[in-house]
Amino acid sequence: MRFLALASRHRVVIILGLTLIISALVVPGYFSASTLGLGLDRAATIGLIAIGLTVLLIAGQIDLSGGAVFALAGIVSVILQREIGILPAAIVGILAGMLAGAINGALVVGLKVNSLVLTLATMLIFRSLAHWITNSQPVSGADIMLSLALAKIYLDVFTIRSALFIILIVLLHVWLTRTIPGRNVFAVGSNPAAAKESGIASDRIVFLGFVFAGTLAGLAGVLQSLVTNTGSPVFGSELTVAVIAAVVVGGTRLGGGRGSALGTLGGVLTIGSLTIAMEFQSVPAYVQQVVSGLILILLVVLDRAVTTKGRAPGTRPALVRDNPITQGGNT
Amino acid sequence: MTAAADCALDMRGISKTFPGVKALSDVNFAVRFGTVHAVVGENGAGKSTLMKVLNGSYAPTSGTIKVGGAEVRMRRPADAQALGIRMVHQEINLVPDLTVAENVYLGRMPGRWSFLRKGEMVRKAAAVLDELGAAINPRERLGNLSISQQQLVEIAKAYAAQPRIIVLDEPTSSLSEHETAALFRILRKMRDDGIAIIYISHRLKEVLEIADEVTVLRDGSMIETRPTEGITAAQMIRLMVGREVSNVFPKSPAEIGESVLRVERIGDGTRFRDVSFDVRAGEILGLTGLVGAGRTEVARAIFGLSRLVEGTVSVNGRKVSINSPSQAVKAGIAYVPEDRKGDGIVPGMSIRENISLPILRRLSRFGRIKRGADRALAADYVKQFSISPPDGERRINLLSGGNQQKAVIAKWLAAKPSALILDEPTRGVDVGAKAEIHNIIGQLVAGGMAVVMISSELPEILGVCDRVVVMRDGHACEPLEPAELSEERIMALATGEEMA
Repeated sequence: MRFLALASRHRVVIILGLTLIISALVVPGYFSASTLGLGLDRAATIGLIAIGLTVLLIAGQIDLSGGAVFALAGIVSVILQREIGILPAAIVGILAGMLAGAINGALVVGLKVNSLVLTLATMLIFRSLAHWITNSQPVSGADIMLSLALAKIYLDVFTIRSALFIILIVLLHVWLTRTIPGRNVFAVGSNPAAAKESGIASDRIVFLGFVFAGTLAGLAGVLQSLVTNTGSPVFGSELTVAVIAAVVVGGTRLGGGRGSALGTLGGVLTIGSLTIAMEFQSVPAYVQQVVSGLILILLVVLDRAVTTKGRAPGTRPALVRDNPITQGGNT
Repeated sequence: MTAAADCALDMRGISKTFPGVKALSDVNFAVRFGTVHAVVGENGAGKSTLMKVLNGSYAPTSGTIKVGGAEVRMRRPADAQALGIRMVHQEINLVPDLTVAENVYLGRMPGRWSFLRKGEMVRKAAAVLDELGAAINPRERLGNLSISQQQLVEIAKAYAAQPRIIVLDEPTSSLSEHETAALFRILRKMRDDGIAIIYISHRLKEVLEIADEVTVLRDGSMIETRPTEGITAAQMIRLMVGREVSNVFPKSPAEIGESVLRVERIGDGTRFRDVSFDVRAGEILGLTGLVGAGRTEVARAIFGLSRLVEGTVSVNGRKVSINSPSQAVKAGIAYVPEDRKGDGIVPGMSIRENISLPILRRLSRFGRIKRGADRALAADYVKQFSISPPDGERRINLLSGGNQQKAVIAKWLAAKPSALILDEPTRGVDVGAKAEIHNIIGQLVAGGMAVVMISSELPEILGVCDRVVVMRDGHACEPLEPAELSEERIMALATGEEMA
């Protein structure tokens, strides 16, 4: 039992380790720096969105529209390149993601609706907007040179994108564990009523959580469009599932109140290395999704097996000797 | 000290109307600094509403509130907290995933530029817990604590805020006698520090022990405020219910018949084993014991909510194999669970829908529910059990605890079981409803049903049950016959201290 609980706590490490070992056995030269760098860069896109989603899930919310915001932000930044220049266009793209997040947050908080349903709806809307703006055609950017710079691998491992991801994960870790707003996010997700009663501005935290998630999805989308020099309305359509899988593999609870940045890092690396390994073995994309799905199911089952067995015994009052009625019996 | 400065809280002419209901009418309520002031009343008397007005959750329809002599207006709980008013709820209202220290300082953690000063927070929380005499590690995750420890953390949280007025709502409902004594020491210390303490409880003996003054509410009105000196529990009950509570546990003697439910040497492999008893038609068998002795686990296993690994269960002489509640219902066993909110009711549904839930198949034809039969059935039970308000279409979670419990019992009666297991059927219900529930149980056995009643309250067990099984550490004693029943005997069996 203790072993199981321990295994559950450090499961990200175990899962990541297993993934790497199996990948190394199956894929020759898996541990070469360039493979790792490629895997990390691939993981960074998932990872940037996962950072936002980690905060939201801890706060007891979810955002399914990340993949659509990713596409939309990328398109905005590519379309505007010729008119206002690459950097301003990139900033506008990120702002578009921020705006999308603000819309999600305002609707969830303002209408007091379930974020799963709401972001499902906005996911459709954002995705359709992306098709509408582009007439469902990919759009290409002004300058291919920047793409090459962004795709370049520094220090044998890092691209700009993956370095950014690692830096943000570290900042997220500090924020979640060491700052008061970070701790309050856990309170809001774990027991909203208690948080509210203690004067924590739950609504503001939830709203800002959505803004943060939207901004990061936008950032990921802009980076992707810069790297590929393309904006496409179909970008990121399978991203949401991979992102949720990564965050949940990392031990963040779907119900809110539990999660960590380092766990998400582990989850993202797991999904990333798995993807790379399968790509090297020419496993088709749809099979990769099947594997992600199966892993998710396995984790949920493992999680339940550990938590229900380890639950504290039921709570009942001690044997009460006195009782108002008998005392009232005019003794 | 002047009278005005002495007055911590002065609520005048407070009324609160909800659509269709007048929850409070013209209530005057004043509390002085440095006193413990008890508020008593039946469920639905308006205690909770009054406290929600006091902590800013509800705005009163009319009336004025003065705190420390100055008139105030509170729009949200944060306003009340800014005025130094703190609530300790009956239900634990903490964050299970944060540490004890983080919970104590929830909403006001110490820090600089929003960076948490964890060391300082842990140190301060440890000091507060220490002052309250609670041996709890401030670094522990709150969810890992027992309920009574969590209750102490809740009190520490309120105390750490250095309140001027602190409201405790049924703080002892999950505390043992020992812990209650410790809590009272804390309360006296807080009182001597000059804090005004408002103490809400059903346990009148505790009220008499700890409170300096008591205010009685009934039906949304303030009946009386007076010193506890010289008042008896009996007088308080009279004020609370507005009538004499005559016979305490009215049990009409029922004819005892054949054995209906018999369990032999059952065990679940972990929490109880070798438990045997039988209960006969027309009989109430009490099942009691200390917390964690395995009473609820036995009941849940018999009802098919958890698995038995050994032993047999028979109903009306026939061995049955039960692996799910639906099989239990088919075999003629019904179970009214302890956790009413979690397991007993479907909150969003009406009284009628809740009652007919287990027997919808019988009430429908070709998959369509016969509305008329459904309504008639609910109306019958609402009347028979005097469920208040007598409106079958009312959503069940809007009822008081006692009335919800009556509806849950009605739900299972509609299924016409031959054996009924009641788990703490009167926990958290008020004096009047308690008597009514006992009455209902009396009627049931008079009609030939076999009843197993789990209860932690010895007077209830002794007053209601024909025979009693005491459990300790997962083992059950031989059923005690009426001649052997005494408080001392049960306590001795429950604690394992054999009598000389």
